[in-house]
Amino acid sequence: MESFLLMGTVVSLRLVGDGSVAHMRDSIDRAIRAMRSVEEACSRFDEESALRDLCRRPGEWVAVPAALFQALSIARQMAEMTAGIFDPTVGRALELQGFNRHYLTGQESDSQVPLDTGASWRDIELNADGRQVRLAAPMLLDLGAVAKGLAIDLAAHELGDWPGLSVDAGGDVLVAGSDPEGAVWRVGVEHPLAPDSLLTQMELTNMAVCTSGNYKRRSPKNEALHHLWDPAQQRSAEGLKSCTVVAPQAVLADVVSTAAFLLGPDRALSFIEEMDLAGLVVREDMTVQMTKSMGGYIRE
Amino acid sequence: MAASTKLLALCTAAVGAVYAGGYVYTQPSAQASGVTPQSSVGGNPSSSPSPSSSPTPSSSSGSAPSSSSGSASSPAAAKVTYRDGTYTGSGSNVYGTLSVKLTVSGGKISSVKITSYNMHYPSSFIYPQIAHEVIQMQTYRVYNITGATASSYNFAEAVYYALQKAKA
Repeated sequence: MESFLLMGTVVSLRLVGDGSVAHMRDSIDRAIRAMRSVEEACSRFDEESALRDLCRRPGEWVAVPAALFQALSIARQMAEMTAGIFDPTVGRALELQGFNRHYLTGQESDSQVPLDTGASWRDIELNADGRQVRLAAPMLLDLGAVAKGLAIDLAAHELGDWPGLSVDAGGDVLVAGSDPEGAVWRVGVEHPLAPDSLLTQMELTNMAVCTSGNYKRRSPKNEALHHLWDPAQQRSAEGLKSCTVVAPQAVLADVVSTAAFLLGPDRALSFIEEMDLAGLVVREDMTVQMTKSMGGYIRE
Repeated sequence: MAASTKLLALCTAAVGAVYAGGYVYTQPSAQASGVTPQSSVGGNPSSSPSPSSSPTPSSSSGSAPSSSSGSASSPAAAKVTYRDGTYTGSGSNVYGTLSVKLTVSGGKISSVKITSYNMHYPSSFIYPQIAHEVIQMQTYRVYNITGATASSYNFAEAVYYALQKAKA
């Protein structure tokens, strides 16, 4: 197993199999490179990212890397499905709450984008050519709910010739094949109140599990605020502690868990069910609810 | 539900689409070779030949400077660039100690590998009132844990020291 700092968090890659050390090195290098490429395309914190470049050029059709185009397509689709409760144009609001520090260099970013432009996901125009994007209004995009998942999927693809693998990016996990003991992978679900304990455990493989929660990343300016931003209310979303989703792709699990969290306690679970996915939600009062399909993964 | 079907289709196709589009993104100018992490210690991955802004000798044991400015495309003000090579740093706080090995290629950080990670977050310290209530579960064989993303700011110190060595 090897761990790296990537995309603002700790990424751990684990390979299972009898491959040579050279093969393992090569696989890990390729996986890290793939994840880096997503970060370089989609980071809100790096002034040189393709995302920041795009945001400096509102009104223009801009050719963007495929990873950014795909992340934007997925984010925009989710925004449409949730009528804007999930909205990738909240970057500036997050930045102003102090979520603006690059995790490696410590440099604080300031996009200087005006906040009150009324920009929303509808202002993201995607060309059918699959390459070009136009932002119809000035905005700062935040693809935090999509890019990490996409990076995990790319890494898993690079590691795909191993009999077993797991990719863990700060709590978003993908497992494939078998675990180091030849068994089905076990993934723990963190306890929101005691992060070194488990709420429950699941057994699964060839699946991704992502959790969105408000219990770790707080605004340095206001402890009451966290990074899951409700654009309609102009504040952090409330009512849930965390929301865990299982899906065949990490990008799907990532975006659905974030959207479900933002939809709040009354709609989160039914939203996951409508997507035909498995998941569980932890409410503020610590009651846990899960989809029927989730029961099939749980191993107490 | 057509909208969710479209989302599923987008997510299923995303990886293939990224590869079809050539996933490695190279900056419009500068860095023709893109990011090429080198794992060998003291490696000297010479990338784009553009002149480095102002190379000054550094005390690090890293290799000779061959960094590019890499920021020609950015209108933003003076961007810090780093000398190519591999650097180490460690940091600690009340929770433990962390060491990293940081690789710079093409003047940019290309990988930050955690080489030693000795963190302990005793729940009794953080949440004394809850520790007793949490049901102790068998965690044998649990290799991964899904949870809310923790920020890695507490690793900043280790990276900071490595970056000091890498500064051109």
